[in-house]
This record gives sequence, C-alpha cells and structure tokens, in this order.
Amino acid sequence: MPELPSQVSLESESFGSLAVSGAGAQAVAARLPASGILSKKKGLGVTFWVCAAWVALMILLALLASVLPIKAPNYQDYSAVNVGPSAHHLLGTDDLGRDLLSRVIFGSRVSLVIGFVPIIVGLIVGGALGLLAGYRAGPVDTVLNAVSFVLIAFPALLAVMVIEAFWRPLVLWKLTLMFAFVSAPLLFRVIRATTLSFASREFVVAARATGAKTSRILFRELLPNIVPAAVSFALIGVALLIVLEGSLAFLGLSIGLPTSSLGNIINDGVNSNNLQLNPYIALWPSLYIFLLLTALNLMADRLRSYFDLREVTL
Amino acid sequence: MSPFRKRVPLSFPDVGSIEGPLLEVVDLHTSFRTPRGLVRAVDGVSLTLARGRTLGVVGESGSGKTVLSRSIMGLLPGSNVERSGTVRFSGHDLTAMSLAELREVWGMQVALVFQDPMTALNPVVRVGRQITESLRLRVGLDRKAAYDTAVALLKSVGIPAPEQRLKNYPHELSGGMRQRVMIAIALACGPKLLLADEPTTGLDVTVQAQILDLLAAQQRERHMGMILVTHDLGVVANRTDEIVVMYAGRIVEQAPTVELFAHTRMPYTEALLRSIPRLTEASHTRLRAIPGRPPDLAADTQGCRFAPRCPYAQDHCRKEEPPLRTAGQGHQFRCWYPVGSAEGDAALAHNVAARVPAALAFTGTRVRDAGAATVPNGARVP
Repeated sequence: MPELPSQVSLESESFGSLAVSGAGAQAVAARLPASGILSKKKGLGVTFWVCAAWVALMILLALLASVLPIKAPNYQDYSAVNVGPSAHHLLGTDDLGRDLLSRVIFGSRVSLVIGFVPIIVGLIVGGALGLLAGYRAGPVDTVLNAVSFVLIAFPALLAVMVIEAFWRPLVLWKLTLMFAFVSAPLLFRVIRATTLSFASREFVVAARATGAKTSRILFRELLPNIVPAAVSFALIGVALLIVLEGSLAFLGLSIGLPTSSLGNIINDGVNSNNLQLNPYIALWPSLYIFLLLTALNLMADRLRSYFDLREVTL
Repeated sequence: MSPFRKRVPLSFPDVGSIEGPLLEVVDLHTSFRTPRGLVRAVDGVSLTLARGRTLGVVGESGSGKTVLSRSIMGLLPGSNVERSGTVRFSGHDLTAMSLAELREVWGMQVALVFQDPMTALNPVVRVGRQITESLRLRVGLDRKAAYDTAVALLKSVGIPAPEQRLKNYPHELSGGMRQRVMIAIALACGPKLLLADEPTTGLDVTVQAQILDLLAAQQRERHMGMILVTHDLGVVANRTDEIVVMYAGRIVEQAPTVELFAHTRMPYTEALLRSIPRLTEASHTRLRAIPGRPPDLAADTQGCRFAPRCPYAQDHCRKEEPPLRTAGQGHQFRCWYPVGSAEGDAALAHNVAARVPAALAFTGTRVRDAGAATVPNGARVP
C-alpha cells in the first residue's frame, strides 16, 4: 500500500486548537482589535463628501433659482453691458446686459435636468432590461443585445441632430427624451455584463433551488450586487450628457433661445468678438461645467473603489 | 404575493426506517449537446450508498466527477442536456421528479457543498441571512429560532464568536471561514445525504485538512450519507468507506477504501497513487505525472479509454473495452491486464521491451537503457 501525504494528519491538530469551545472562542474574539481586518472599512473619505456637497449645492441653487434674490435671466440692464464682476452684477453681464450669475444658475437647470433625468430613465429602463437579459440569457438576451448594439452603433450627436431637424421647436422634454434614448442602451450593456458575471454564481443556483421566483432573484440577489457598478457608471454618464448638451448648444442645436442653458451661454460667449471683449461670458458656464464634472467623476471613482471588495485577494 | 414558489407536499421515510441503500444510482448517463458533438460527461455510472457511509469519487479534471454530483442532485442546466438512468434516494426516483418536488429534496434531504467558497456566497448579503434563509423558508422556523440555529450551526462548524460572524459580509471572512459557512448552510436543514464537490479547492493545505476533518465529523455526528468528490486520493484515503475512481465519465475501479489501496487493480488508479509526491523522497525528485491527456469526451472511442496513456495497454485494450470485472469483496475494476496479476506483469514487461513510451515513463527507465529495466512488481524484463 503506497504511503499517503503525511500533511493530512499533521494539520488536523492545528484545527483542534482553533475549534475551541465556549470560553476559548470568546477570548479569541476579544483579542481581535476593533480596527482589525474584521471591522468595517473606512468611510468614503473627505474628497467624496466635498464633491457631494458641491453637487448638492449646485442642485439646490438650480431648484431655488426662481426664489433667489437674483435678476431674471433675460432682464437686460442697458446701463451695464459687457461689464466684469461687480457688487451689482456678481459675475458681470453679457453683451446684451443680462446678469451672468442669473443666466448661469437658470442655465444650470437645463443642464442638470438633461444630465440627470435621462440617466435615471436609462437606469430604470436599461437596468431592468439588462438584469433580465443577463439573468435569462437565451433568446431574450439575444434580441435585447442586438437592439442595444443597433442603438449604440448610431453616432449619438448625429442622431440627435437628425431627429431635431424634424422635431422642432426644441423644448426641454424632447431633449431629455432623446438623451434618455442615447444613454439607455449603454446602461443596459453595463448592467447586463455585470449581471452575467453574477447570474451563474452558486448563490443564485441556491436561491432557485429554495424556490425563489425570478423577481426575487433579480431584485434581492442580483440587483444589490449590480448597484455599485451601475451607480459609478451612471455618474460618468451624467457628465457625458452635460458635455453633449454643450456640444449641441455650440452647434446651435440645443434648447431654443432665449432660454439659457450652459451650452447656450458658452455659445454666446465665443460668438463674434465676445471672447476678446468679454471672456467672462464663456468663462463662468465653462467653469461651472468643469467643477461639476470633476466632482461627479471623483465621486464615481471613489464609489467604484469603495465597493470593489476584491474578495479573492483577501 | 410571496416571492417564493408554492411548495408541494412530499413525504420521506423516517431516518431509521429506510430499507436498502440511501442512494442508488443505476446506469446514469449525462451528455451535453455541443457544436462539437455529444459530450458524454457521465457514461453509465452505477453506485450505491448506505446511510452513515462515505463514498469518495476520485478522478482528474474532466473525468465527470462534478457532472456526476450535479446529475445526482438534478441540478443540470435546462437545455442541451440529456440524462438517462435512475437516481433512487430513500424510496424516491429523483430523475422522475418535477422541479417543485426536487425543491423539497434540495437542502432538506440532499445538500451540496459547492466547489469554490470564494464565489459561492452572495457578496452583498450578510452571512446570517444566507444561513437563516432556508431555515425560515423550508423548516418554517421563526426569526428567533432560525437565528439560534444559525449560531449553533456556526459553532458546530468551528467558527469562534458566531454571533459576530453572522453580522459579517462574506468578504470579511477568510477562505476557510467561508467554506465553513458554506458547510453550515448545507447542513442547516439537516440533510440525509451530503454531496461535497471538491470542497477544498482554492484553500491552502492546512485549511483543507481542517475542512475535511470537519466534514467527516459532521457526517459521523449526523449519521448522514456523504459523497466526497475530489481529485486527490490522499484526501479520501482515511475519510471514506468506499472509493469510486472515475475516468472519462466511467467508473474504472470501485472498492472499499482499504481494499483499493491494498490491492489496486486498475492501472489508472495505480498511476494516480504514484503521482502523489512522498515526503520520504529526496528533494528535486521528478513528479510521476501520468503522461498524455484525458480523452476527448465528444469523440467515439473504441476499446479502453485509458489505453493511450496506460503502461500496460495491449492490442486487446485498444480493440475492446473491458467490462467491470469483480475481484474480491465489492471490488470492481475495468481492465484486461490488471495490476498485480500475472497478465498485468507480462503486459508491462512486454511494453517495456517494446519501448512503449508510457511503459518506459512508468518504470522510470530512459529509452537507451530500457533493455535491463526492472519492473515494479518484480517481473524481470528480458
């Protein structure tokens, strides 16, 4: 009879010392420092909360724009045309004498709606379909996948331009709808891919074996695993859409004038000689977009690394 | 509306009143339809297991071990699978059951310890809920009772401070801890049969031994039947009552553990045993790996499936597949030239003389001095 590896019997001894009963187990637990490996991870960090506060402030300003003590966005002050920042006009005025602070705040309403609403719609529609496609596989997946590819293959900017040409006048809800249409297939793909990697894991098999219905598996077992990836991608999506609105406005294809949007204001600021005469017109909305996007990206990045548990390398 | 499917009434005989074996698998075939053709992952496997006994299933990767355990459970993917044969478990034919009926069997009667403790648990659900879920749903315990049972379960699988661990997420536990949690989940509903599918994959050797000892202890305590699937004969050696060796979807040798090690008949089993490194050997001794690769399960094979890698193989082996032959008490093997028999020794000597690579590798002879090689088992090569 061949000998067997001797490690087998050797190591069983060390188990004996670990599987101590009652009192010993308590002692082991007591010796673990509170901040040890088994304790909770640190929070999201200062950067995240500063960024979150900044975004929250911007959203608050946009919401309260009409009750804030600022001038109407289209009110023209002929005594102060193209002036720089002053006590009267905190951020200066543009070439038509309109207050830039007011225009940026009212303009941010459009940008924020266009940034967040389509992503939320996309998360709900694309997310639900992505979960289903990733979990169900088979023909459901094939069809939804093909549709998403077709939608993604369309160059977004071009598609929006073409639709606009036939669908005037441009108002906020139409832009929002089109942007939702652009973002939904992208969110669908991310959520489907993440679902796929979890759908074949044993805890899903076990849930099915216990008799859980599809809805429970999707929402209780799979969805919580997918939220981190979806949220961090969605925040980047918000940034992308705000930039997309800017690009459209630059081409004169954003929301109809005289309603201000950040893109419209930038467009104004670089038209004719405005950039040389009064760089503030383009500066403030650009700075607004820059700071908002930086905050969103930093938040997304922090969230991603916070939720990245790296189980296997533990 | 309940998020869970309706349950069906299904009665199982009491622990003591089971007549005959707990599990009886007869001529089980499982094949997968693939673009390359039909892959016969399990090809005519029969085995029996009594309550309180442990059966080891051994074989290298791709020999059909995992598919066998999944086929017994009925946990196979829905499409492109063909399964035939019967699996009788304490008086019920599992292969004839509906999905709803199988759900009454899974967990409550037959439980499975999954292969990889790193990925099997839900990373965003606390360990506590993952253990109590089936207790509340299947056994119908209330929150308090389920919690107390979970604490007791964790204690019984050797996890210190179970109250704290129940509040942890899987990533806060080490690999060994997670496998203990998995075992606790499998044991939660008090199954009569436990299938452990390579329960120590991905764990380091120290933890492997602990987990295996734990499984053995639980099996004894609960008087369960257990099937231990592994690729390591060392693992099953002192923890099983009987061993089944699988190769290419078939049982090639089956015997009570002591008998298998004492009187190995199948050359494949012998080769597996020889491939285990020994502590008594000098360092840098070459590992005696089995040359070649397991056969393609999609291809139609003629003769013995191990023949291309076998040091004993003769023309007869390549033409006709050996049936399961009986030798001694409960010892069955599938070989024309069994190890330790006169025919076997002669076949090996013949192959060494003919400089068959598999035989030379087996005897440890280099080709140029093959002429004066001594074959193990004492036969002199001319």
